Amino acid sequence: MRNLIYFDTIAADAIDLGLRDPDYVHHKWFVNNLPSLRWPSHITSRVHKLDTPWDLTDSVFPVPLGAPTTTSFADTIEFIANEFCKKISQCNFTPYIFWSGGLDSTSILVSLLKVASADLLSKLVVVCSQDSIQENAYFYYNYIDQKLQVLDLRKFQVTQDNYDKIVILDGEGGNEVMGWGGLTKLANYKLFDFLDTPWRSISDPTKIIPGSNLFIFNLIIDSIKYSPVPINTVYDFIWWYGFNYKFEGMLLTKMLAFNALLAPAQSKHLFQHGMLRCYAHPEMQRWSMYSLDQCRTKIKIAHKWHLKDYIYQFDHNDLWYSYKQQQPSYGNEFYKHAYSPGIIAIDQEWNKYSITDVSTRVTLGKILQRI
Amino acid sequence: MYSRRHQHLYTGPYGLVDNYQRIIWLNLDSEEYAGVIKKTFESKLSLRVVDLRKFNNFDSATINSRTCMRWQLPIDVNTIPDVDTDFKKSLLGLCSNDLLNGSSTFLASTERVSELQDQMLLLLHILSLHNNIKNNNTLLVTEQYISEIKKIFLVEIHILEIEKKLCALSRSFLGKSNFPGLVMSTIGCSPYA
Repeated sequence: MRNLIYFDTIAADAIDLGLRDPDYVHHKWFVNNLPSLRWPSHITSRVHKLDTPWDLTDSVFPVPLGAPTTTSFADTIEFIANEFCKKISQCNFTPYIFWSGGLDSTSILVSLLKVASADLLSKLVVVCSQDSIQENAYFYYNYIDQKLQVLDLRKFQVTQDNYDKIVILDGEGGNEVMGWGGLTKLANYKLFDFLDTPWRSISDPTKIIPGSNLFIFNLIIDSIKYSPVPINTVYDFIWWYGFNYKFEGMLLTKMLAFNALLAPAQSKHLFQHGMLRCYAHPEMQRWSMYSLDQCRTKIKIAHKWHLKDYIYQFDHNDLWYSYKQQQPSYGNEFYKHAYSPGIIAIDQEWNKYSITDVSTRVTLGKILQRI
Repeated sequence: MYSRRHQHLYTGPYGLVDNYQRIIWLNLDSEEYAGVIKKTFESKLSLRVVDLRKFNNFDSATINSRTCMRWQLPIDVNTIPDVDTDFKKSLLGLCSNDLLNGSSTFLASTERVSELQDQMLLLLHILSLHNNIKNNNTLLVTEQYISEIKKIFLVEIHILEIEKKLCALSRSFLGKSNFPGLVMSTIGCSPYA
């Protein structure tokens, strides 16, 4: 268990409650018993190396440098959609898009509907559930049903036979790039002045991310100095927390569902060549970094306003635009049923380490200094 | 200019409240129907069913389907979903047990808000009619009909389109139950076309 790209602190915590004991030497890393924090299970910074007890490699999703080519969200997402379409056409693979009915995946589907050729759209398979349809029925019945191929979420599987013949498009990373749910909560309370406040002026900084503690706060501060863009306000701080600390864990955790049936080399192949993730695309990340002030202003209308507006300009569903609220993605249904329980770590060759293996448990015990 | 089309009067302790603005869109006496409306309007509004009796100043004589949209739930840990107690306590000290009057602001235009509430009132009226005529012989066909009705309300976002589709659907069910005729009368749709 060396050169890890993923380590699940929640899985470790689940088998050894003693990890939380304040007298335990590494207890500070096991803070996931704080439900309000939603600290990622895989703790890593995308801009600097953390001094973790386990051996982590550099980030597999380093924060991209440089400025975006455009300040327009629509131009950015369509630039990415064009690139994805080109890739799909070149490789002639079957494209599957995970559509939850929510903002992230709907915005990606809109971009494809706008830029993709008729030929590509005829191959596109929309993977969704009844809950996805319920969440955005108007969109489903006007733009998907009878127009695109549809596959029930529960029937989708990546296998050893198809892993190198498909590409998967999903909206993962959307929350982390566009602003973690903590921002939605503050917006619901209309605490816009608080969001505008310079974070350095908050007397108890742990209140910025409720449930956090000084260790976590200092981890965030340590990373801020490496941020390519200034982190000034409370809004920026919360956004940075998601963008730097939650992003990678979110994208890797979901991979465990996709590669549950794959060998390490196949998993690596799928990760490197089979995943087209719009919100993890460097250009989208750059747009996000350089649009912080814009997004902070627009949150007064709605969280993820740019996505809402982009979808509204396409489908003119004013009710969804006005009242759609961020909620847990129904796509999670897939991850729940496809997820391989017990995976505690993945190394850079995509070997997966399961807590069900005695050798993994022994190694883990040594790494964590528990034996 | 939209003029109200379905001004049925309802009142009751179960409020349909939107998660963002905390506005009471409708209050009725059936928790079951409140749940059906919440689910059917899920694509249009993030609603929740709240028992309004827990608020000190709730009075069903004052708060009804014609007045409820002027009322709003207070900001409180119990009135906003997806907000945990730690979060609230750390940022707010607010705690009120009174409904707020006259402070509602809407995200959609006034006309669309009226239209949306009319959509809910129409569905509620249809559900109430259904309850009144339930009879075992036609139950199966009625359930299918009701299910199709809910789908129309789920998918369509404009009331004229909803009424048009309800009319077409009801015509296809005429003769199988006496319920479609009642629905057609409600929306002013002729059975003779």
